[in-house]
Amino acid sequence: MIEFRNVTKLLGGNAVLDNLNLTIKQGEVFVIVGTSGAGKSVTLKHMVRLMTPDEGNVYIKGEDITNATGADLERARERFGYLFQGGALLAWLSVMDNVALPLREKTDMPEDEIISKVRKTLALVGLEDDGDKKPSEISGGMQKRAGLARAIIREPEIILYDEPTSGLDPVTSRTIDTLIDDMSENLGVTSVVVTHDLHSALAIGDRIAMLGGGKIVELATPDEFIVSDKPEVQAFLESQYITKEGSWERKKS
Amino acid sequence: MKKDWIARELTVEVVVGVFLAMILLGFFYFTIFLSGKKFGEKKYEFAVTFENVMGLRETDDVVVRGMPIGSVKKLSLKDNGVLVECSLKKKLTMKKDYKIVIVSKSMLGGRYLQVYEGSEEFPELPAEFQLHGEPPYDLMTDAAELVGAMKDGFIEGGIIANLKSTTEKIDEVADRIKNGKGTLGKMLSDDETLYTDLAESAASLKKIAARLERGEGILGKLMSDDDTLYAEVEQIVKEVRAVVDDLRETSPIVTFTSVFFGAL
Amino acid sequence: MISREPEYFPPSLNYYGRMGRRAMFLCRDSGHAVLLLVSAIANLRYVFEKRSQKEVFMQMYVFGVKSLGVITVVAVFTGMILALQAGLELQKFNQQVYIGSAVMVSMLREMGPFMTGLILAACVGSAMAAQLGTMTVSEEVAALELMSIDPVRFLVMPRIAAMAIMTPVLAFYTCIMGVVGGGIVGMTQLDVSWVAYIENARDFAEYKDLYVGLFKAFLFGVIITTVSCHEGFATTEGAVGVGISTRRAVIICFLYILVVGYFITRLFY
Repeated sequence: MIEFRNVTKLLGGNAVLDNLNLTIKQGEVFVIVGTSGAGKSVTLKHMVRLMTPDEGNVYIKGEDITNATGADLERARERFGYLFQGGALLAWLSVMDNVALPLREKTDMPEDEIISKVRKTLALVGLEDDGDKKPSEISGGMQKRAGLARAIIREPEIILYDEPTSGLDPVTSRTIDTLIDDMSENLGVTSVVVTHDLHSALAIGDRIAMLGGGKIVELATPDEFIVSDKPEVQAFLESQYITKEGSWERKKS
Repeated sequence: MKKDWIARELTVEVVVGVFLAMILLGFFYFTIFLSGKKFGEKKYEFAVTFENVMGLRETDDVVVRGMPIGSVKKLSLKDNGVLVECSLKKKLTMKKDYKIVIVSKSMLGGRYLQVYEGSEEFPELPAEFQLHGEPPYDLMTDAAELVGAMKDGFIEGGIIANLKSTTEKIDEVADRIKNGKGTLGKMLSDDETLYTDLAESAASLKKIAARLERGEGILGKLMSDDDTLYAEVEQIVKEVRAVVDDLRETSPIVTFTSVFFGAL
Repeated sequence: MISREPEYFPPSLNYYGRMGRRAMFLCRDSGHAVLLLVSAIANLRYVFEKRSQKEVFMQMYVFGVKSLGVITVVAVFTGMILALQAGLELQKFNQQVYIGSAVMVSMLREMGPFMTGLILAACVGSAMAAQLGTMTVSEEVAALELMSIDPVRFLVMPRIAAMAIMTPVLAFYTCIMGVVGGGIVGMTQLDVSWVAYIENARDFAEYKDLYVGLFKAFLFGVIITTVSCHEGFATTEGAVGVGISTRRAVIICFLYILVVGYFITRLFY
C-alpha cells in the first residue's frame, strides 16, 4: 500500500531519514514509535508529499508520488485522511463546518446530505452535541476527535495519525485508541499511527516500527516488540514502565 | 530528480523576485533621475545663449504664448554667457524677429523662459541657428534699485529729518488740540478718539522713521521679509486716512508726504 | 505549494557569501509574494461563487467596518493638522480660506490613501499575517492542502478581493473625514466659514485627484494583502515566528506604501 524505497531526507543538515525502506500493508494498523526527533512525523509527511524526499521514492499503491504535481498529487492525497497533532481545525468555523469543509469544497453533494453525513461522522467520534461550538470552545481531546471526523469524512483508504494521544489525559487517550481501533475494524482502512505512547502503540498496533537515527531499529508485532532484545527498544520500554515480565494484555481481540 | 523539482521552483521564485527588483529600480530611475519625462513622448532639443540667466534653474518652465511646453534641462557656463538647453514637447519654428527672455514668476521668486517665436512675415531661421536670449530684464531688481535710490534720497535729501520734524509738529498739534487752542482745536477737542488716533500715528511714524534710517526699508524687504514693518505701514496709512479726510491717494509714500506736508 | 519545508543552508564562509545569500533570499521572497499575487488573481475567477462571496463579504466587514473607528479619528486629525498648518501660514496673507483647497487636494491626492494604507497595514496587515502565520504553524494550512483545498483560493483570494474593494472606499471616507476635520479647524481657529471652506475646496479639487487617489488606495490594498499573506505563509518556528512575520509584514507594507505612493504621484503629476 505504502512503500518507502531508500528515502533520505536532510533537515537542518542532519539526515532525519537515512536510506529508509518501509512497506505498509493494506488494512493493517502500522505504528511508528521513537523518541522525539527520530523522524516519525517526517515519515508521515512524506506519505502525503508535505515533504519531498531528497533521495529515494515514495509509492502509494504502486504509484510514485515523489514528483507528482497538480491533479496527480490531488488524486494521491484523496486516498488519505490526516489527523494533525493539534487537530488543525479552522478557528473561525464551527466544528460542524470544519468537518463539512472537505465535502463542501470538493464534492457536489447537496447540503442536506452533507449535514446528515457530518452528523453521522460526529456521532462516530462522540461529538454529536458539540457541532455548533467553535474549536476554541472545546477541549484538546475533542479537537482531536473533531479533526479525526474531518479526516474520515470522505472515507479515505488510509488514515494517518500524527501523535493522536499526545497531550491528553490517559482516559481520553484510551478513548482515542478505541476510536482508531474501530476505524480499522469497521471501515477497513489502513492506519499509520505515529506516537511515542507505547501503551497505545502496543494496544492498537498490528506491527510496530521503532525509528532511531533515521533508520528502522525494530519492526515487529506487539508481542515480539515487548521481548525485543535491542537496547534502544529496551530503553524505550523501560522508560514507560513496560517490562517483558509484566503482563501485557491486548485489548484487541 | 527530486532535487531538480525543488530547484526549479526556487529558480522561478528567484527569477520573479529579480524581475520585481528590476521593475522597482526602473521606476526609481525614471521617476528620480529622468525628472519631467514621460514614457514614449517625443522631445525636441532647444538651446539658447544668455549673457545672464538671472538665477534661472534646471526644471524651470519654457513658456510660449503663455503655455508651458517644456522645461530647462541643463545650464552650462560658456565663455561669454550661459548656454541654456531645454527639452520641449512641441517643435518651435523660430522667425528672424524672435525674442527669448527670462521672466520672474512672482515677487516671491521663480523664473521661467518666455519664448516669442516671431511673426509670420519674417523668414524662418535655420535649425542650427544659435539662438540668443535678450539681456535680462527683471522687475524685482528694478524695483529694488528704485527703492535703493529712494532710500538714498530719504537720507541724503533730508527726508528723514523732515519726517522727524513733522512728527514733532504732529505732537505739537496734538497738544494744541488737547488744550483746545485754535479753531480747529476747539472743533475737535470734544473728540477724544481723534486726538488719540493722531497721537498714536505720530508714535508709529517715529518708529518707522527710525527704522528707515537704520536701512531696513528697501521695498523688496518690506514686501517679503519684514511683514511687521509692512503691516505697520499699512496700519498707519489706514489710521492717517481716517484722521485726515482729504487724502485719497493710495500709494503709501504719497500718503505720508501728503500727511506731513499737505494737511498740516 | 504554500506550506514550505523547513530549509537549511550550511553557514556561509565569509561576508560576501552571507550578503549574496541575503540578496537571493530577498529576491526569492519577493518572487514568492509576486507569484502568490498572480495565483490569487488567477483564482479571482472563483470570486462569484457563493461560498467565496460569503468569505469576501466577511473579510470586507472584518477589515473595513471594524477599522472605521480608528480611521475616523486619524482622518479627522490629519485634516485638522493640515488645515491648521496651512492656515497659520496663510493667515499672514489673510488668505485662510485657501485651507479648503489645501486640505481637499492633499487629502485626495496623498494623505487620504496614504493614511488609510498605513492604518490598514498596521491593523489589518498585521492581523492577517498573524492569523495566517498561526494557521501555518498549527498545520492548518497543510491540512487545507491535504484536503486539496487551495489555500490561495480559500484564504488569499477573498482577502485580496475584500481589500481591493475596501481600501479605496476607506480612502474616500478618510478624505471626507479629513475635509470635515479641516473645516472644523477653519471655523473655530481661523475664521473661515463652513460655506466658504467647502466652496474653496470644491473649486480646486479635480476628478483626476480623486481617481489617482483611489487608484493608489487600490494598489495599497493589494500590496498590504499580498505582503501580509506571504509573510504569514512564510512563518516558521512557532509563536516566535508569528511575531517575526507580523513585524516583517507591517514594515514591508509601510515601505511599499511609501515607495509606491511616490511612484504613482510621480507618474500622474
